[in-house]
Amino acid sequence: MSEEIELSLNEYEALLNKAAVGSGLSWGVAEDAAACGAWFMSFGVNELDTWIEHLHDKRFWIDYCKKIDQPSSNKLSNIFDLAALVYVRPEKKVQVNNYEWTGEELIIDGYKQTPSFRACLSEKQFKTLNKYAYKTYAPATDESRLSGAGAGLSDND
Amino acid sequence: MRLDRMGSMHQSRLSFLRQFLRRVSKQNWKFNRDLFEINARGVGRALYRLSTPSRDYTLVCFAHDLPDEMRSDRVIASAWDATFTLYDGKPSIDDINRLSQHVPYQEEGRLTQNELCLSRANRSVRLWDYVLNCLAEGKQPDLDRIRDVGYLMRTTAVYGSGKFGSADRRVVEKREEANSPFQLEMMTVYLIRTFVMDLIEHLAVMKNPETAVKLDSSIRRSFGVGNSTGLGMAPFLINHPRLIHNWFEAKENAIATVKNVEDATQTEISKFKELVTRLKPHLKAWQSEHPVQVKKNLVLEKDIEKLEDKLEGFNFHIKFPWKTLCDWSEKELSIEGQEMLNSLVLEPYGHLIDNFGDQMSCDEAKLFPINGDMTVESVKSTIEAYYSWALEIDWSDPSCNARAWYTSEEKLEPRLGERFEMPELNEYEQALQPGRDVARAYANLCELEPETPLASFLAVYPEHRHIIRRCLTCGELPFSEIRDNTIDSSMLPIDMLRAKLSFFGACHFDPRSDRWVRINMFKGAPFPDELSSGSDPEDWIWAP
Repeated sequence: MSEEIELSLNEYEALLNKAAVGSGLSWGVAEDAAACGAWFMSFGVNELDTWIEHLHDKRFWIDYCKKIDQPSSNKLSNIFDLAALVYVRPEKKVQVNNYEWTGEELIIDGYKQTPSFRACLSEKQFKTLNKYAYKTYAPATDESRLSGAGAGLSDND
Repeated sequence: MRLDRMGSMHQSRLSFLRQFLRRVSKQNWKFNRDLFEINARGVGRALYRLSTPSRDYTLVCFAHDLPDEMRSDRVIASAWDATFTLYDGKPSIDDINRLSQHVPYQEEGRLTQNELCLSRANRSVRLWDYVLNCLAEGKQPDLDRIRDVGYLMRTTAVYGSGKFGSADRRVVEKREEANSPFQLEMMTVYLIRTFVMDLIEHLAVMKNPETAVKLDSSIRRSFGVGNSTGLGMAPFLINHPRLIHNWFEAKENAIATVKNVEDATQTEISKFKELVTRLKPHLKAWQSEHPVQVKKNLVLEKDIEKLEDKLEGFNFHIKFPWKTLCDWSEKELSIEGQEMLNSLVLEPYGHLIDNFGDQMSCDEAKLFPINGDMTVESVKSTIEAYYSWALEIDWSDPSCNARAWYTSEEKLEPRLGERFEMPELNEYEQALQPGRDVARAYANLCELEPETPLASFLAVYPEHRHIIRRCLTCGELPFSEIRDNTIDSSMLPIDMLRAKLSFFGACHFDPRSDRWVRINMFKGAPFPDELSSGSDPEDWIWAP
């Protein structure tokens, strides 16, 4: 059985952000996509597999952003729509499928979800996110090493 | 905010380490060394605990025997002389054993929600053996030699806020002692300072139990904790516009409050004048070989003389004396000198300005919402009002677009490359050049009908979403944006580092290149046991 990985919520959102950029989303769209994933996780809800699937569909996240920017255009057909609406209208009560937002709490199948500042994900999910995130890092080269702080000087004094 | 001014800022009463020391003293926090098991090679563990009125925090220290050739301050280092974590409470033996498997490996290890900060430090080769041998032989080290360095160990990173699995900021932000920015990081560095002093005294005894002595308390105080800060701090300033705005606004409000003081009392005047006498010795101890800083310090020396001359005949009993002095400085002193005076005039006025420290944090948990119903015309107006400096830059000039900020796969070290020499970097460029990006977005906004809703623009140009959000955020917050080109060929990253470090409370800024600076923290400050015995938490600043 694969190991579970635990991250801080902040660390998780930063990883989602990089993964989204690494998959080809623009910086701004990636920020909203990451905030969406972190919002689910802040209630202990791991919607990560669906979130990752959507990375292959840039249009999905651009439309998601439009629903945040213009909540009146949000037709509330899936739980990501619910997340987009709650993000900008947290005071509003809303229900989509088995997800219910009370204005303060998230209830799924009648069960109140417990908020947390930790993120638990499978090793497979963690590796997938890192695979995308890695695309944002420049390869290690001698030339690149010289452009870091501390390069070319003795720092052992 | 301009880079040249940011690169000339000094610590002040509102700096985070000053806020921290005030709180320790005011609330009479208790200090305990719960464990100190270190062998003659300097290897072992120690626990240092601070108890607030409501909870405990413990610095868990691991001391190592590091071969000289492995010592490096760079992010890509893999071993250090000492490694630390700040534990939330009192750790059990099981906790310490768990942490011993992670903390010495720093970024490669994993922490839990019980840990708040992660840090490491290296010995100063220039001072460590010298001080150790002096103490082992029963002598006190020479103050002049200490002054040239100022610390026995320097930290090379202090991570917090959820990094490497540690507690998310949201876990602690509502605690009174952790609400102001970087309070737990300041606590970590402060306890590291105490550990380092204990360590060298302990090793001196291990080396020669017959003759070893402890440091005289006045000499002990002259050691701060060094710190090497590189490029990671620069993106922080750009990535947290709302937080940064609060820092600068608080300091500006504090200065405005003091300038607005109509009549200065004799106590306030005397306090200020006494502090001015500390400036020359402080400057003498401010060592740097970097040409930019050497030049600035020469000018600052002249500024201090001008200030002393000005004060000779200055009548403090006029109305608004501090405003008069600050106005004078803007005409007569360099930016470095003006900023020094701005920090100095705050000192006698803790009762008026310390409360601004409570306004320096920011809830950044939620992204700034974009109102998609705004028109393109309205967004353009915001850009024209707040980013005219960016629209005036010729971005087709290679020198204006010379650099690219990126992250290396090597331990994710932040780097700054020359775009035209390393064109492959374009693919990895981070969003850290608001000026250029806003000019690009503006050009595309101009292509659309004025009444087009912003949401429609962003659906067609999703690449501009980040910068548009930034413009709308920064348009409301005057101190949130650096109004300079962060990718210009002449840009000095050390200017950004210095601004942030001044808010931490650092001094003795010693740039080692354009992208790396050494500083000193807590130099001259009372140790925890001294604070418990009633030492003044404020009256050590501008120490030599």
